[in-house]
Amino acid sequence: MEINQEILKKYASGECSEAEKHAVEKWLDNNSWDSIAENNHVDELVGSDMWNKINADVYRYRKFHWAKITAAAAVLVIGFSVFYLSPPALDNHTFTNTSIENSKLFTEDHYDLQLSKNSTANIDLVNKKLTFSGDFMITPKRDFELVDSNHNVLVFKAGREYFVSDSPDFGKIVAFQKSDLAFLPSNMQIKIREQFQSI
Amino acid sequence: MKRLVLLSFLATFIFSCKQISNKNIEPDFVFCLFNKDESPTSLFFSESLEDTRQPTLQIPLSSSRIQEREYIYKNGFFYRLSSQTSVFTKHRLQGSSLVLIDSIQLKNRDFETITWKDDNNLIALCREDLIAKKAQARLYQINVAEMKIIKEDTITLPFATKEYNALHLGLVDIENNNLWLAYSFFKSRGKYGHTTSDTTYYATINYPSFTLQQIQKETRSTYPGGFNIIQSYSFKDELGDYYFMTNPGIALGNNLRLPTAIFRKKKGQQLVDQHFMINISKAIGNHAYGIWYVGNGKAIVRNEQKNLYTDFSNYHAVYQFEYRLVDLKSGSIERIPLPLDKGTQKENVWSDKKDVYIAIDDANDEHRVWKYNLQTKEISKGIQLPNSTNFIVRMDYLKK
Repeated sequence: MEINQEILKKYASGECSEAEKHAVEKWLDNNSWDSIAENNHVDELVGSDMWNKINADVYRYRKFHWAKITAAAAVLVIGFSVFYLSPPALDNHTFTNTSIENSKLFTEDHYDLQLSKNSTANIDLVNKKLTFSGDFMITPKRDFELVDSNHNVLVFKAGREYFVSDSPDFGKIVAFQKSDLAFLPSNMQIKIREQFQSI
Repeated sequence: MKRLVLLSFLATFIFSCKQISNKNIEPDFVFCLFNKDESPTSLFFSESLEDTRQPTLQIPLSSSRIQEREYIYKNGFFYRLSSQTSVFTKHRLQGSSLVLIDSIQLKNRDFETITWKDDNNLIALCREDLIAKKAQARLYQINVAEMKIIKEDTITLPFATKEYNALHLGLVDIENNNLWLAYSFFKSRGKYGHTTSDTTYYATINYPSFTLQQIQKETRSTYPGGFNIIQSYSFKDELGDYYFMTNPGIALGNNLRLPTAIFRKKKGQQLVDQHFMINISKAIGNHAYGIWYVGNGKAIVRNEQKNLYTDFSNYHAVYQFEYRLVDLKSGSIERIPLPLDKGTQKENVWSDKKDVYIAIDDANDEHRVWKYNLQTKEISKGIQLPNSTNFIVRMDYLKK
């Protein structure tokens, strides 16, 4: 099925058939170079409208899955309604991954986090502080800044993906945007890829 | 998580649609662009490199992997090896879309160095699994017209030590029945770092029998070549003499005691000329990466400036890269007065032998091709890339 802007618009507004929905999701998730067919011009207004709808759609999609997994827990349904009514407050979480082989995924209100093997991280959005050891990939759902243990300000923007590491091989604590990783020596890229397959 | 990121990419793409021409164009050049907002890497097609209001076409790539700039262009087709699936694909620009033509499954995920045996036969080498702890290379000969593997084999290359046991396959050349490989060994240092040993090896292997004929040791420099689907490290001049560069600087080999240098292997010879060496580091006080032949015995190199970066945390992001014209006969090196560039290992130099065109991402946030006249040494402005650009990582001539 050809992916074009008409189908993407339908996808964003939830009007796709199952087959079309499947095709769009496959396109988004694949690792090929398939390009989208551009038959018509989309102006900025439509683009911005669509982005809002996409955001809403993603929100629904995520919650659907979460709800499915925890379907029996009625208390969460109440939690959901509270969640929908007011934006979640800034939080402070500590993450630990003691595995010596695999990374671990955490889904939070304000970001998703993939913590590397043998790593810990404390992300304190309230006090804008980051303390960690090891490496992680973080995908913020809102813009925020964190100050690391060396008093460097690390800037995180919603929707982007960052690789954060305290390895001395980089010279200092780094928060690289994913595309920055393409500039590292290939051996470094391969080692990072071994831990975070999604890059 | 990935879905959110990809959807945000998609939205950004829609915002940027204004730049996209709906017309079919007949492009002579393609650029690979990394964008500021992390929207998908895109291919930008243009009819020329001049600063004129010419029709252009920008195509976002659906995938958001970091290896998007690692493709091969040859005779109208784009080829790419997926680092996720090890599938080797063939694409063509059709109208305003990139169309998948064919694909084959390989066993390896990354090409380390490639060359063309002829217009249809790609020779690609990969490093075999390091867990085996043997210095093994895997060679593929792929007929890209038929998209068939003609030959594949493992080559065990000698001289790995217990300490330096990881193979770097830097260069490959094929002449008649002689396959010539340049390689070195490295070891891991820390979690992500590495360093290369002091020696380069040049192996001559009979092709296609794969019998090892001879090995020449080189101690003048190390880390020959590099991943040449990312950047060029060798060329043949009008006489068929083969020139190549070693890259021991921080961005590639990371053995800073040895110099970046240019070496030569004359046509018909299997041994590297021991009387020829242009020591770039000694001449300019810095390491360089990337070499491009511009005709008449001259080549361009792209050098870093060690006083402008601190470490890997800012190496790719600071405006530090210079371009120099090297006279291969006299060894003289001349700086071209262009704006400083950023971005590690870019493939961004092309020449029609009269002018050199260099795509630069400068400190004024201008992303532009600059034109250097080889006769008059005059510099002028060429095509400007969209303002959404962060890095111009490749520039390819499409009529080759």
